[in-house]
Amino acid sequence: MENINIEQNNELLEESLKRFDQYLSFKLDEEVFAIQVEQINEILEYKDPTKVPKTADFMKGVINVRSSVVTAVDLRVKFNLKVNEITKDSVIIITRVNLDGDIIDVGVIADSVVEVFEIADEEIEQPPTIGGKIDSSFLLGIGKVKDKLIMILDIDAIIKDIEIEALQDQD
Amino acid sequence: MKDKHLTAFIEETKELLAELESVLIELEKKHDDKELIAKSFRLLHTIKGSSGMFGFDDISMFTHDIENAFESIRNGDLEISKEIIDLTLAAKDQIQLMLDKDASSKVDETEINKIIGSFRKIAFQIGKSKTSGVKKEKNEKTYAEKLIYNSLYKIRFEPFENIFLKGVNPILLIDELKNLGSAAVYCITDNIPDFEKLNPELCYLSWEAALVSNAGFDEVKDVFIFVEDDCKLSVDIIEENTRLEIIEDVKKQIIAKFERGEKLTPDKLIIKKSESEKIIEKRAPSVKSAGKDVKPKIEEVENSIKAADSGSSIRVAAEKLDELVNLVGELVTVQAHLTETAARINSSDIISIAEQVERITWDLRDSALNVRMIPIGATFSKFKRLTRDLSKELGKEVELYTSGEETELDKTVIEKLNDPLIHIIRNCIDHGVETIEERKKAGKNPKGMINLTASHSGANVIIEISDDGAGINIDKILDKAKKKGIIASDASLSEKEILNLLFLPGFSTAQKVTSVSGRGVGMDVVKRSIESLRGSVEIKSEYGIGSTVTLKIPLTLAIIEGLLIKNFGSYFIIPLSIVEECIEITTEEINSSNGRRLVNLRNEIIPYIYLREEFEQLDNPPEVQQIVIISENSFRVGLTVDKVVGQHQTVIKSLGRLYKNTEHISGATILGDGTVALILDAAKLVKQAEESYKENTAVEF
Repeated sequence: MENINIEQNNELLEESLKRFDQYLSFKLDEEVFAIQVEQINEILEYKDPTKVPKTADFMKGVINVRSSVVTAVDLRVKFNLKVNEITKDSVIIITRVNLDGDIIDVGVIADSVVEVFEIADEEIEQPPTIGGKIDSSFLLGIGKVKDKLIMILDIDAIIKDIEIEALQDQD
Repeated sequence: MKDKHLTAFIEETKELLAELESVLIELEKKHDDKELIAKSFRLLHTIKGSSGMFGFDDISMFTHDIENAFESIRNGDLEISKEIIDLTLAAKDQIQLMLDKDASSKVDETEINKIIGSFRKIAFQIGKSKTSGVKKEKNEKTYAEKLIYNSLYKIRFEPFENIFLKGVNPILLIDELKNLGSAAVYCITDNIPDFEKLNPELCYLSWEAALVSNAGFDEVKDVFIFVEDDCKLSVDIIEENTRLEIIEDVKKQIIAKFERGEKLTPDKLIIKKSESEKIIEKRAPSVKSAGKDVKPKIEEVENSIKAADSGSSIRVAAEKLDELVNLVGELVTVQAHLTETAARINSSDIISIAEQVERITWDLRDSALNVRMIPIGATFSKFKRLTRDLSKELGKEVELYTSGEETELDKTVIEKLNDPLIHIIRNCIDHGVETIEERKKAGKNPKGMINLTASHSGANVIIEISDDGAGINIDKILDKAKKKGIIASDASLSEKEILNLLFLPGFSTAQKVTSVSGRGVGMDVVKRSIESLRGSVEIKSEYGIGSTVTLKIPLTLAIIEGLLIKNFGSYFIIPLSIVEECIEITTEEINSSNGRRLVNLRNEIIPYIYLREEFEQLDNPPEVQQIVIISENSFRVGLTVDKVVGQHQTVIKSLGRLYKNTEHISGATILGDGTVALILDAAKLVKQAEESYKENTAVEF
């Protein structure tokens, strides 16, 4: 009896380990990127951030998100992609970022939102360490959805990098 | 639930400890102040009792011995000595350590045992002096007399039903009562409901007792000190200071009544307080013949009751207040929007409503901020202890005088002021005040003096720390700065500039590193933390006479009055408190000045900062710009702006971590229409202008 139970448990365990996480995909220029839905607070219509003088170009400024001041960053500048005009599809994705234990909200400007999709952990491949357009340390992996490759961003690592760069900038 | 009570207990005990500390320091000066002695006893008693209730048995047992010593002091069997104060202060520190359960590993058992040992030794000595018949003249009543003159108390103790839930065991209280003398206790069981309705977690019992004891009224009442809020308690003096046999008689009658199952309540013995006073007055002749005046005692009791009633306050979690201030902040923003919209629509009806809302919002804002204001005095008393311990350690004699304790500041500001103030006072004691010999040689009072004062000045609070020590040796600083390569070896600096060198990181003039200072963290830390409060620091010093450190701190961090300006399409806020006036300047004038940014204001030349240039904005400026003149530390600077919009209630928000090191901008605020405006760090701008102005003028001459 007990043995069977353990086997069953193991099966259940394996099943639960095979996790399906949800991701939001969006476009920066023509490239499709994704961020874990868990890390997304909300998606706002684009509004012009207030630029803080003498800061790096990708630091777009600050916006008002329900009475709190949130930093907005432009990853298109950070990743050397083409910066398109603002259209009615442009959005600011408010992400929840973990910076060395501090949870802060950061807005990510995107040209448009694509969809929310599910993908199993196993189906996410390690990013190539060389030859990729985006520094592999910024990626959690590359997922294949409907035969299209989507770069899954490690938003914590990206914002950490931005913080370091911002500090150096001002020194 | 339990955690909530536990945190409340820890918080409260910490406050009690802080109070105890300041009382002890006072007591050190006035050894025979009865009120202070009684107060320390009460504080210890409360700490003992409540820590026992919350399972801090170690604290409870530890405090017990100290309490005993203070009881002897209160009774006049023991006199306050420096030793006792030292021991009690050390004990206070230990209790504080024990409170932090996480740090329990750090609690030094041997230290605790040493303290307890010393207290027991003291207690033993009292016992010896008592048995050997040594009487103290101060003592009004001898021990023998105490036995004869006793009081009869009638106590009625009705705990509320939920008393068990608070962890109180009424029986222990009754036992404690019995220990005070001989008591007859009667338990009233009338309220016990039928069995099926009985909730075993509730207390249905109440007690009545007749107590014959030589303990004072306060002492009897103190038995119930922790349950005061959880019961109906009446303690009445029926016979005061009467010969024992008379009392025993009355007591016997009462006991007889108990035995017959009668209650005391309807009995004639139950006298209201006013009546009991009358009785005591009637008895006055006999009492007086016993050499005691009863009246003052009653007054004392009354006073203590009154004191407990006055200044009623409630304890509120700080987060709730923060939440309130946040909401008020949002309301201020919405109100600004309403006023704007009303003006745009231009309907007199809406404008009048908007005006009313505006008035109420401002009042609300003021009172919400006011709630968070607390007097700075509590922090000051901590420094007295610091001064005492530190000067002892360094073999110096230093006294800290404080004034302006009632000055109120925002709670968060006060918390953040603590560390910088500690640092400054340490500096005063360690480097400022000389050793006793040196002071004698210089013809000064061997006892050094530090003055700590707080006062209001407009929207700021000025905190001044001055000592009458050696002052700062300017040449020494200059030498050191040159040696360290902080300044060029041929640089010539003004006195003010030299003193400002002290604020540079890694600059410490202490000859040797002591446990007190000179560990590399110097005045730069002070400066940085004061600046994070949007405040400023200034040092003045006269060699041989003393130094003064002045801190200027804004009253609150949450909401300020600002001047809203528009520059190259963005909105900025300048704190209104430093704005002096606005003047016009044409772009042509700016461009034709060959890069010399100076403006003539009523025959005074004032440097200005061309913000457009400073912020690297390349768009086309309007033909006429404004210069806002601001002043900080009596240096005036202009800032060019495209347009002055007007006054604005500014709810200060942080820019967040990613903009932590941003220059020139100290925060952000949200305007009525939802856009974000940046708050200019005016102090920094002024300083920058001051420096570059000096450089330029230096080059010219």
